[in-house]
Amino acid sequence: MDQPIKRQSTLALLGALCLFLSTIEYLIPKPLPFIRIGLANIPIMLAIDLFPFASFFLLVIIKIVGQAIITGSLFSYVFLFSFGGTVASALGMYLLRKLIGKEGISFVGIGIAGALLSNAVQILLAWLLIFGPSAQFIAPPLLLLGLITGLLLGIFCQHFSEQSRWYKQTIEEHQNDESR
Amino acid sequence: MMSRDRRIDLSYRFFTSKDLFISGLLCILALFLSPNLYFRAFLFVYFYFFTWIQGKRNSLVITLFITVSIVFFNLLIPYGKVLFRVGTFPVTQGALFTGLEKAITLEALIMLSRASIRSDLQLPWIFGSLIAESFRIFEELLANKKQFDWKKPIESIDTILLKLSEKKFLIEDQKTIGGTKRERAAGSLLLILQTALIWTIFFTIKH
Repeated sequence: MDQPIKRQSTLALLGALCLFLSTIEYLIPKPLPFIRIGLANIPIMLAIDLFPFASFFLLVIIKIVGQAIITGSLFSYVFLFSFGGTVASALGMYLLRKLIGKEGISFVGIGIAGALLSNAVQILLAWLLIFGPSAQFIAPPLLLLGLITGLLLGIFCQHFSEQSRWYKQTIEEHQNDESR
Repeated sequence: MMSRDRRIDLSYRFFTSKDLFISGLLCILALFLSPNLYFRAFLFVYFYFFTWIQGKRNSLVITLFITVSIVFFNLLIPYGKVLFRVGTFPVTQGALFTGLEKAITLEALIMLSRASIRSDLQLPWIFGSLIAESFRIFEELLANKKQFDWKKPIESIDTILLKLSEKKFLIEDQKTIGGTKRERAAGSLLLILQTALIWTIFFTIKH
């Protein structure tokens, strides 16, 4: 029984960090409501190596719903953009890391892949719901922005995973729990 | 004019997050079922005012900026009757109307959502308790946000996470700043009237 409780508290902690980073990001002005730097994806990326898929996906949902409650966007298209972009990038990043392995792909690689996947889904939704064919004009700058932010977030996560005491401690705890 | 703090206080006394959520769900249905642009514009204005009453901040500049951005991008693919030209670029009726329709719908949805979702909203099941715990830790993070150092982000996030993972968070009912029974009943009645008004308008206008 100890193992799920520990996992749940780490999940809640990372969920809270997602909300905190979302709040910081919410304060940065943007030309379109669904454009995001993706700061709140940092805990999601870090969680890939910490949790099994079910717990990881629960964190993704906590991030999406929590963000929507903070910004009050639960009933709007913005929620759909957040949901589509986050789920696509989270699934893509998780699959890449698990299929290729830590040695084959770094956080930088999965950060870029995640950002591009998220932007691709958001461009598709923008085409369907808001801009129509004009979405082709926002696609290049959005993808370029995704490439840059994905790269920066990936570099941050790589450094964090190498230097953080909390991260090492949590990984060890979870590995010990699994080997019991 | 009533101060923002006073409006927030009154909003918490009169409206419960659950009532706001249910009322919002019913109103959003009317918005989606009606393609009438005037009705959607009315909902935008109404909920813009309602979010103000609740003490939530709205930026008219950002709202206008988003609207102009959406209309601008829709104008880039011209179709329909040419209304006028900006240089050699034709501003067409079809593209302008579609842009306005999408911008008004998006803004109405954002305002309706902001008016209906409050951070003390409690969700059911294990997911609900997990997200409530996340919100409790989030409040702790906000209270200690000075610990976050932009110059040393890795170190400061690491320290915060270490501190918070050692701290025990008691599972307790979320703090709610509710008013008296009479105030809550009045709030519920207001929300019922609001929903009834919106649906009455929905049924009386042409779609």
